[in-house]
Amino acid sequence: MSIRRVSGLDLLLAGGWRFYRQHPGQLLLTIAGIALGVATVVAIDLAAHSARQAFDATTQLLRGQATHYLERPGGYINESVLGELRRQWRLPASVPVLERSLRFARQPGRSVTMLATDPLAATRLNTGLGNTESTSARPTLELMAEPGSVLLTNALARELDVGAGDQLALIEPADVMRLTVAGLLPAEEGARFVVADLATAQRLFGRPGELSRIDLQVPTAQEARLATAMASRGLRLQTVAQRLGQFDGMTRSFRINLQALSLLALLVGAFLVYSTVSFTVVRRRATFGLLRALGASRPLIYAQVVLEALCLAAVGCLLGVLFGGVLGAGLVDLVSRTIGDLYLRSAVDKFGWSAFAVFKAVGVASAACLLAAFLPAREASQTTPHSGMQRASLERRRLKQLPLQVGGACACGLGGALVLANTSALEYAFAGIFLVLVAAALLTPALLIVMTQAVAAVGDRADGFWLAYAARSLAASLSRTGPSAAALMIAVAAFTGIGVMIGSFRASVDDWLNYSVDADVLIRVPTALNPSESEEFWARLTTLEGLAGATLSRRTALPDGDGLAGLLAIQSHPQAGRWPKSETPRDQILAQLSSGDTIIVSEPLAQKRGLAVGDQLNLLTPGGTVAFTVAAQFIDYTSELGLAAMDLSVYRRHFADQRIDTVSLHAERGQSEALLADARTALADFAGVQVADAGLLRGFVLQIFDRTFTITEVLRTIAGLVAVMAIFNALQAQRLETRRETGLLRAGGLTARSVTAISLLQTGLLGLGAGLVALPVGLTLAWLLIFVVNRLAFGWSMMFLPQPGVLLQSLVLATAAGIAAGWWPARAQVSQPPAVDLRAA
Amino acid sequence: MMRQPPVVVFARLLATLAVLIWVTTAVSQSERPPLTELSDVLGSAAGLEGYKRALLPGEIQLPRDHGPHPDYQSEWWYFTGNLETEDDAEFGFQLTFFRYATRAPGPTPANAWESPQIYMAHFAITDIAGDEHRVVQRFARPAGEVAGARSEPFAVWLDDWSAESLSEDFLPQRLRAHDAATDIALDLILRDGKPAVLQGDAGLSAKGPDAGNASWYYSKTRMPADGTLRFGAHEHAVRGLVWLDREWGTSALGDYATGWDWVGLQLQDGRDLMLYQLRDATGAALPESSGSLVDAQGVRRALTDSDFTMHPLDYWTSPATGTRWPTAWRIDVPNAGLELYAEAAVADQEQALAILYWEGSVNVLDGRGGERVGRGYLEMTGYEPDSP
Repeated sequence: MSIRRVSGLDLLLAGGWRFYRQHPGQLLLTIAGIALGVATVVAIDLAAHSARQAFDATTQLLRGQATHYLERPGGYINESVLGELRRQWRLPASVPVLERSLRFARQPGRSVTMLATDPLAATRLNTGLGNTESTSARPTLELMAEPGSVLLTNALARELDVGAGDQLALIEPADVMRLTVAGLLPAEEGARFVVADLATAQRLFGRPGELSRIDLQVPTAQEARLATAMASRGLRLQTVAQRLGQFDGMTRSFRINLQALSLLALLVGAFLVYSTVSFTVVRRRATFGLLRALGASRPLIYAQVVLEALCLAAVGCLLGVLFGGVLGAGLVDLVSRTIGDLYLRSAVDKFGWSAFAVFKAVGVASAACLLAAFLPAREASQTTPHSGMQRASLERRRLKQLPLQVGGACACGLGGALVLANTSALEYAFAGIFLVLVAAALLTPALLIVMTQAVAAVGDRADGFWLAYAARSLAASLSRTGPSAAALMIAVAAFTGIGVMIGSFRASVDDWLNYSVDADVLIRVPTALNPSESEEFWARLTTLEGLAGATLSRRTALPDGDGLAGLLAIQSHPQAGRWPKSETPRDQILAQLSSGDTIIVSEPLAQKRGLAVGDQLNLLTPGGTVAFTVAAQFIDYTSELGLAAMDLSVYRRHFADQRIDTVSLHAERGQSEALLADARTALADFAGVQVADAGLLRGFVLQIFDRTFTITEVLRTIAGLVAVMAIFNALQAQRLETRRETGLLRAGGLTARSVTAISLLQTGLLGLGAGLVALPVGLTLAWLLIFVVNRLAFGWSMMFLPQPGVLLQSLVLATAAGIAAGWWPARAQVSQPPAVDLRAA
Repeated sequence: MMRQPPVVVFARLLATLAVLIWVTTAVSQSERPPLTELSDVLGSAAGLEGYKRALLPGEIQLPRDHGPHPDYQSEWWYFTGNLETEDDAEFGFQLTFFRYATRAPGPTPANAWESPQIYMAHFAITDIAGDEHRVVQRFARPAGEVAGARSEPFAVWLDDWSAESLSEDFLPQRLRAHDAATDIALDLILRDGKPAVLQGDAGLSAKGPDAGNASWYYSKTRMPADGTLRFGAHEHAVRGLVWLDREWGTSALGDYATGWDWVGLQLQDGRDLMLYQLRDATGAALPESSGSLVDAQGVRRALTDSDFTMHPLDYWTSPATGTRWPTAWRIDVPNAGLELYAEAAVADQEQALAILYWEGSVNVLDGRGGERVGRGYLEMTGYEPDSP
């Protein structure tokens, strides 16, 4: 039998292992903290990644062997281009597509993409359209022969619980026609969309003669020439690969936002690691002193602490990745719905792993853990054999570190503010926000000390000995419970900030809706009413019961070079309407708009083009380029790409387009329901004319809004969870710090009940303190998200409305978590005889 | 070429659509969906209500009627021709545009996709020296100007396949088609050779014993043509003669005819002979079979079923479909002194596009001496594949 040679590191690691085995709660909390952070990052990443992958699978069915597609950015293509492509350019494999979303009455809360094409042409690209499940060719033929017939993907049919032959009523677009299920498409699992003939879709959406895009096969030799020729008419030829890139670009802001929020969760996780590792170091300073006395070198101890942190990180990451997968699969649906709502792009609810996403999250988490372990490891390695045995030396050093922390906080805060003030890139803005948060975290222990001392002073004044005692005792331990308190603060701040941001945004959208969709009845007019129909239509409108006034509008794509934005021509009812919402008075705007070549621009457009009031914007009109003067900026959330608006008469003069898309009717007081009913009856026999209740529409917009922010709410909840974990951690530390004190108190005759009360008072104070610090930090975070991030990402401005409810929620969360989490250690404290506590530590 | 009663063309169109879909479903091509189901799907197979009918003779007016007749159920522009190069390499071609209404046309719909009109085109080239035949079909609806027809100046097109007058006059005319997948292309200028002849009774061509079961039918039997033709890698300068058949109408399908055999022959002596025989289920010729002989000056003489006989002499069995096609015919028109053989220039000119038919270039031989006296086109339908 040989004697096993034990290295110093083995010995140290065995010591570490024993420590954690004796404090399983500590271990669990730390690992859970890391796991939660990693899980959030992984989940958000995977969900976004899956949505991207699935985006293409949807249109793959129709695209087949297409190499390119032609589109008009921000608008629709006139289908005469199709004839030109087929005839002059001799590109027979050119397939027209109209893609829009709709909502079924059976599933009102969720939109579905309708892909419409010409089944006769789709076969030219060998698409999967003919691949219906039915054994006959009937369904595909029926698309053309029977107006309103559609094919559903298997997944969608299951969801809606319908089969071939069933009828489907629509709520969006309003009930122009019922759809009949002609058959099922065995598309990729999870794919949910509807396929229809162009005749059906163009009628349904009131877009006769218009296409979303044309999929086509272009020989390389022709590509450049075709692209140039089409560009001169505002059309863009893109390769299929570019289409994916475009999707990335379009959803970039959305994804960066999500990722940044998930990184925030990881940041809180890193604070947990930091607090745990430094806590374990503090707990074992005697052991380290002993080891140093026995000859263990500094690097050895340093290595041990780092290695321990890495082990924690590894286990945490593993669990985090697994949990992230589960969470991500749940989020895919949310992400793809949001992408569908915001960008009108269809996505599939299909979850897929991405090695990169996992690698990234694990990398960031490991780095965060290493960073978090760095300071405690240094501290442990600097323990001298002698000082390690003494408590006071540590206290002294911690106190000495306070000014250092405050200095670091100032530096971080200043750096963050500088970055935020000067950046125009979303990534840097988030980096700035992180710096500001780190600054707040560094400042937290100092602030808490100040606060507890203030409480102690109040206790002295009010002759409340126990309050003063509890506060001072807490302050004494704060030098070491600080990191956990900081983690708690960050979590609560994130909870508050995200809550305030969502609340503010929602209130802004609601407010904007009341201005922009302020009519009582909305009428959508198909673009192709013939002259006699048109005359009759207007005649009937004017005789509607209870009508106070009408606003007419026409929305088209902005016809400039890369025409990304929308153009709204509007004849606003001067008395009845409230649109637009702007800093400039409405009367003034309306007067300016009708007076000449004047436009107003939405905030995103102003930001993207750098337009200020008084600037000129050149627009390409049929008569040549015309310079329009910007009269005002207005608030609009309909498009992050931007919107310009002008008076209808000005539009008609320049663009030679007499059509109207939407008529908004304003009712006499109390007459809105009568007006709606009368409009429905009077306009029933105009094919394609849709009459909608404006109130319902406003409700829809808010529904979509709420769904869009469900993910953010999920992240906020996770932040709340992390907050609870952080406080458990903090209180563990606090209890261990004060063991000897409580032992003394009990030995001095205090009852277990009193000790528990003091303990709960302390933990409640700690929670409340962290919560109080978190409030201004959270409000700052919300302010930054609203005024920096949203401006940069979407160009939207919104009101900053701290809701008292959200703030109260945060304080309650922090305090209640503190008290609840304090209950358990307090119980443990009094369950032992005081001598144990006295001897310990 | 009045080869097929419109109803049969409809059947062909339906079946073509079916196969088109069928091919994409990757189901074996030999299975074809039942016709009844398809006509049911497209709606109006039985209902002829709302369509115009061809009832009284003498209504054809040119050039107006070169253009489309959307009030009738079906219509076609049928170009066939035999061409040769400078060094005597011979080719045949077919370029046909069909228009079919899936339901009775009402007021013009605001949305072109809702139009009931469907266009179909077949394009084939036969390389006689290479003993090879290639054919391709396309479909389109008139939306986006992708397919359509007009009368003055005349044009009919589907994608970049087109026949288009070069001036206000019907001729000269440019005929163009090109297909990348089969690698065939045609670009011809057609000139005037003979005046248009009205077939049947002043253009009214009866398809059965009932009134209205008829179509309007005229032909341009001889249009000298020159231009280029591509078959695979080679492009050739070619010249030759082109035949155009125009027909439109609305007819009901009887159990009457099961198929037909049609020839359009351009003889070296300047005469052009068109004959078709409708067959019943036993293969016997029906009394509606008829034809015409146009002399070198363009004067037409009508032929009834008693004026001619057509007898198959030789057969070719398709390895692809198992169908046994009569590829050589004895044709006699006694009172015109014609005793002819028509022999397929290439045996395999089968067109298994949708409905199965055979359309191809033939050599016309003198029935007594055997020397070639002309070239022409032969079409045969209604031959069932041998069941295995």
